[in-house]
Amino acid sequence: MNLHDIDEQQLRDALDQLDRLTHQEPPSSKWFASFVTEQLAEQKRKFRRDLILFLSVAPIAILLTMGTLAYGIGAVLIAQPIVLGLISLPVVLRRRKKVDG
Amino acid sequence: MDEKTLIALAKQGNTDALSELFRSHYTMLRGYLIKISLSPELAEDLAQDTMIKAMQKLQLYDPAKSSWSTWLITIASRLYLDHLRKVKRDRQLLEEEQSLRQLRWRAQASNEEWHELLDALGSLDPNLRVPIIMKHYYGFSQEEIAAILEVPSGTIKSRIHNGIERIRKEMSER
Repeated sequence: MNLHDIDEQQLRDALDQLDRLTHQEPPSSKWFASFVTEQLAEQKRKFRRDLILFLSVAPIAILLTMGTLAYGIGAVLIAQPIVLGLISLPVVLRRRKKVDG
Repeated sequence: MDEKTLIALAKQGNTDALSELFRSHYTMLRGYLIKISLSPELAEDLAQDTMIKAMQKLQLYDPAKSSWSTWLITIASRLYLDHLRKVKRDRQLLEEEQSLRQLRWRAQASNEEWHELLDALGSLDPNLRVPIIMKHYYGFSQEEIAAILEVPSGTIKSRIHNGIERIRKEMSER
């Protein structure tokens, strides 16, 4: 199916009008260079953060699995709140410092 | 430097080549997004999001499969449709209406006669509007549009058909 009675040229003209009405010079080369540099740095930061998160969660998961195998589920359930408490301690302390400060 | 060399350099981590690729395609990308969204503000946001996505997926880009501009159009179209899924339909309609009003005002201010076809396009569901613009303005085939929008070719065919019928109806009522 094509436009025929609406006329494809009419559609082109209408959309070309949008180009004219919204015409803007593209940002400078400097802007693009800093945009790319910033975004790449942001990507690296995100990757590092995800890696740190993974490296801190993975040993806990391994320890829990090994604990379950060695001492049974009961011992692991008892140890879990202690481990989680120790992990969250730095976060809680940091938050308190912020409130105090 | 030609596009192929720039792409190869960008893939090797050359940031100058990558920013040059974005700079040389920015006007096309922004223009495409304005045409499908009918909103210059949204188009600018999505153009930046497209460049960010392109940086993240750069290693997956295969120049043998599509040109750089088609690849950017693919990312931009999917981001636009994702955006529409996130915002409520009535909010999207309101934004489009406001944007069209502003554009009409700009046309008036520059003594241009407003194309009523733009109002008809604005009244269309974006899922119908996007394939029509891709086919009749950018010259993509139905199969290419289907691949870009990740929709079966038959669906694209019926969307174009229905979209044109609605534009026709809308224009005849004016």
